[in-house]
Amino acid sequence: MSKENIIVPAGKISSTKDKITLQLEIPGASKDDLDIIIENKLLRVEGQKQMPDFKNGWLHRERRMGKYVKEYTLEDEVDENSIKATMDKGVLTLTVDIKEKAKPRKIAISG
Amino acid sequence: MNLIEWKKPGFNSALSELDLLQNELSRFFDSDFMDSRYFGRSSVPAVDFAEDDDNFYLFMDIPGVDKKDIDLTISRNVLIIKGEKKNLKNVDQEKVYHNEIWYGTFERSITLPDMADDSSVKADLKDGVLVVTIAKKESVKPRQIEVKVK
Repeated sequence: MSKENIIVPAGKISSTKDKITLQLEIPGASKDDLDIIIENKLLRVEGQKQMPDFKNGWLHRERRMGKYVKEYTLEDEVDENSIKATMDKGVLTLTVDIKEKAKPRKIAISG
Repeated sequence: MNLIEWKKPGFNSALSELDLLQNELSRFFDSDFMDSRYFGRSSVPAVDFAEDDDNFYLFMDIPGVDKKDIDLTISRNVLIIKGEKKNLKNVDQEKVYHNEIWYGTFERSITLPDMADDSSVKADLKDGVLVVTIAKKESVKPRQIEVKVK
């Protein structure tokens, strides 16, 4: 019995004033191989990396194989119903809106 | 929001000097200089190499790299893959909080086996994986030989 290999993909977190963007590098996984689950403020991305099966035909191997797994905790400031996901060239991009009340705002000086 | 306590200027000048240094260092690490190839973590991407009866196959993980930024050349059975992974700056004033993704140029050269036919090479980019297919020379492909029984 072989234990499944877990790959923790490289990620990037950035934000503008309206939304937060997460990017994950998951080469070899297509959108059909991905599961994006939100449960109790925990965002979990899982994806199977597809490897061709050459059996005895492998001459040299360096690439990591297995299943991509990455988790993020969502803060109260983000609206978890607003999450959108896109895939392009092996990079998964997730965007989530920042709640209105958590956005920076200007305070006018009275008087 | 947390309110930050105001400190009298000069009261703790050693600490404020450290703050300045910290800011300078943070700016340096956020700069484009750190994105450049000088600090690239993996400018030699991992490859897998395989064969079947008809072809050799090379697989390279290069997520986020555009097809037009990949340069493939082959000469005298040496395959050279060069490319650049560009850090697309967002148009919005974007702040980066955490980044494990590497950007920069990469290069890898692979000597192909003698039985590879370097005039028949195909390349395909799918889901961030570059697949290069190199045909085997006709003469080395397995052939069925009919045995005649008298």
